[in-house]
Amino acid sequence: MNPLIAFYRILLMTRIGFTTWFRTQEILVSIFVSSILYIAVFGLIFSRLSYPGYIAYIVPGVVSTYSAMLPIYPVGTLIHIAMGRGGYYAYVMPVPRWSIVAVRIIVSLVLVVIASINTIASYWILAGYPNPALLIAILPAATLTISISLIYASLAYIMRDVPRYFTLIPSLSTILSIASTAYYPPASLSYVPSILKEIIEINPISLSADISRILLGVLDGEITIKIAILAIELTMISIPLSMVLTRKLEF
Amino acid sequence: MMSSSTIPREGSQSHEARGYLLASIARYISRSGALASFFAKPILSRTYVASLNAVVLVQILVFALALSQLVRVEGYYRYLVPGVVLLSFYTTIYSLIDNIFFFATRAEVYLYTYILPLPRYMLAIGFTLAVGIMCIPLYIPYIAFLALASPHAGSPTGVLISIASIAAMMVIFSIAVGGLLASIYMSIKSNWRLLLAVFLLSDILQRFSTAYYPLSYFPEVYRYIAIANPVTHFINLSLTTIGIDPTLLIDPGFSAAIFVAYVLGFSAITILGAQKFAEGGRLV
Repeated sequence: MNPLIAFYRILLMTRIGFTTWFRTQEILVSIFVSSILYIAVFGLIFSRLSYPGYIAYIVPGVVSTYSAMLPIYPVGTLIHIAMGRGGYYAYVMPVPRWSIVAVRIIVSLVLVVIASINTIASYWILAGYPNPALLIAILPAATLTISISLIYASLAYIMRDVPRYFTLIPSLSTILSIASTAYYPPASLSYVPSILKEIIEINPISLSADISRILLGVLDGEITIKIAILAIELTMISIPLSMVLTRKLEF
Repeated sequence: MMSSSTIPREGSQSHEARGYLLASIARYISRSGALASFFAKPILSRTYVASLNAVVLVQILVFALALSQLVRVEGYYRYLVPGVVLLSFYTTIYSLIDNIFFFATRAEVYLYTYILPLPRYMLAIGFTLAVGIMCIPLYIPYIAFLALASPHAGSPTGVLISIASIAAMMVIFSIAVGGLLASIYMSIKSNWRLLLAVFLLSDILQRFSTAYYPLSYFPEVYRYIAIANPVTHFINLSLTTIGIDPTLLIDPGFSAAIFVAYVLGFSAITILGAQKFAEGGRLV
């Protein structure tokens, strides 16, 4: 197939993906409201309970957790389309099959960016001044979204069972988010066993949140090591999964 | 004038009629419950139970522990752990009741549900009770753990009373949640608006509850929403039963009054609303 035509068709598919997702008002409204409530209720009340800077601390954390939470549904519907009732439709489309996954990842990325901007804007309103530097937090989160979407797509492909996917993956995403430093500074993990603490610190969500915090000056630490560990983790996840998925989907 | 010999006969007839009515209601509710358990069993699979326990344990061992290190309140972990467990119970029954209502009234099965010889409010009540009762065994180990860690742990009777009180409150709370969801299902016809309302309500009720933070730490504006929230009162009453520091809680008498009002109010809306809006048309 002519690569230009294939690219054009993938773009068309992406547009269809966007139309499906963004014409469904309940998704947009729920993401909009949830991301505001996270900061305006949970963040605000815990900053009263702990210390005033807590709300600024959790904004990058919350943005990082979106990478684990928001791809669940766009990627999950992939099983319905490519492996479920719409399988015949998906397989006869004149595009490479990996593009079905790629489109879902692009949709997830856009959802993460929307929710992140909304969270950051809510913080600006609460803090009383805009701080454009906070937008930096979106970059590691967006990179993480690609890898996590690939993990979900692979698990969806392995499971091929919609109820099981929608039971296991939201739990996995919640555990990934809770067992990270997204909501609490590493110092508050002093009572957690050391092995668990190390796992929490190398959790990709923790790394993504901490990189943004160091860049914003909210957290002290060595940024190069964290970037290196995150890059290694994402490469180790993304490259083999992309290859396996491409191969499996084509045959 | 009525002869004296007929009076006891009429009295016994009305007594029999009342007994028959109560037996019919019990039969209707048990049949709807059986139908709900048929819908809920595939959802409550081993995968579901394992995932639920994994999430609750991580919340207790990491989330609650780390957050309690962060706050300036003494013994905050004791406040946070029951909050995490009870909020998890709320999200579980909310999503299960919603799933069953949606499946029975808006998905393919609705034709079957509509022709059942049961009043629709009985279906709503039966579904709700069945889900509440099916979910309690999932949370009994956590409730037992909380009761054993409470000040009543000195006597076995105290522990048993705490467990029984919280379990009873959970069943009553599921009736309130079922009534709330039934009211939404009766008032909204369009599916996307329904999904949106159900999701938003769940999110708002969770965030504005006192599961993670005591009412005294809420900003002034949020306190009204928290006080109007049924989840707050369910959690507050359960925390009182467990014996959490009363300075962190709302007055239990006030909470009990609002909680009972919610349960009765939503049940009344379900019964009257189902008669008015749903019979012969849409189901609960």
